[in-house]
Amino acid sequence: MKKIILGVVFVFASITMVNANTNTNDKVDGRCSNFAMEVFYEATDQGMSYEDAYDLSNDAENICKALNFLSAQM
Amino acid sequence: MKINIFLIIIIFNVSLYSQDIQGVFTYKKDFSDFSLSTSKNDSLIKFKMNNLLKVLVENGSSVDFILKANKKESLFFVNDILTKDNDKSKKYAIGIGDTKGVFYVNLDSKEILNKKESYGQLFLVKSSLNDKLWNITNESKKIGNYNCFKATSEKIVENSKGTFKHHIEAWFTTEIPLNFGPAGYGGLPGLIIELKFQNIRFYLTKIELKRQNEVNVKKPMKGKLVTIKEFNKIGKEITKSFRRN
Repeated sequence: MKKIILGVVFVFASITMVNANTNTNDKVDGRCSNFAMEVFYEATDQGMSYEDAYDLSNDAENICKALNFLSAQM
Repeated sequence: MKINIFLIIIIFNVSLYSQDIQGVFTYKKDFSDFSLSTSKNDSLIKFKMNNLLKVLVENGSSVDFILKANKKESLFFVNDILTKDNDKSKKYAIGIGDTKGVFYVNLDSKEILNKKESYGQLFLVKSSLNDKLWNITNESKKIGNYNCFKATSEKIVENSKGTFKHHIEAWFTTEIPLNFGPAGYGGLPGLIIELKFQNIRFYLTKIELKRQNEVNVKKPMKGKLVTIKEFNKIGKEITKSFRRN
């Protein structure tokens, strides 16, 4: 019985940890996507071509995720 | 009489040399003046934009661009040894200012071909040297050992916010009689030593002059052939979802 309870607790703990991790990633993804959009608007405002603005916003998203600018906010 | 013959020989040799002149030229790209501001009063966005630019400038400044040119054709590309690390921000730093990919210029046909991978597809974007109208000024300065003259032009960009006219400034020298320059710019009476537009500056760092038949320029053939207008239309379509309602 003890073993079963321990097993159930372990499974619940694992699921909770996976969910927490997914939520954190989703948060970062969401915020970095918004940042990328902002970069796109500003780039087109400054007269950059669609291609340049598109590449810059993609890069902004990648750098945002890689450097985890938002870690301090979470 | 002897002096006259000597002069004729010198002039003949100089003109022969200028006909044969070919070369491989190395440029660097400086965009430390490039800025990206935001109208939003959001310190986090501002902080992130500043960091983005910092990463781009740091990664982009080490990249070498090569211009191979003979009397008729030129090819401008990134020194691939330096980009094999597949660094994405370095790739963007290379492309900023619509300078991505390989540029082929043919003086006889006036053809400019820009082979590049954009929006996940390989393109061959076609334009003409006739589209680049230069105004050659009297202004001159010495860059390195070369006397250079200033020429100006305009780069027109159309995007979802409207039509933008960007000022172009080129410094060329007639001492290197090759009518080419970085990123498909050319058509001036000499090599472009320095080129500025949209707060980006290309500048020459190395000159290797070669003898006849040493510089082989290969015209790019692969990619979907489109005009600049068609390419812009594709960009407009793809970035539709990016725009604010």
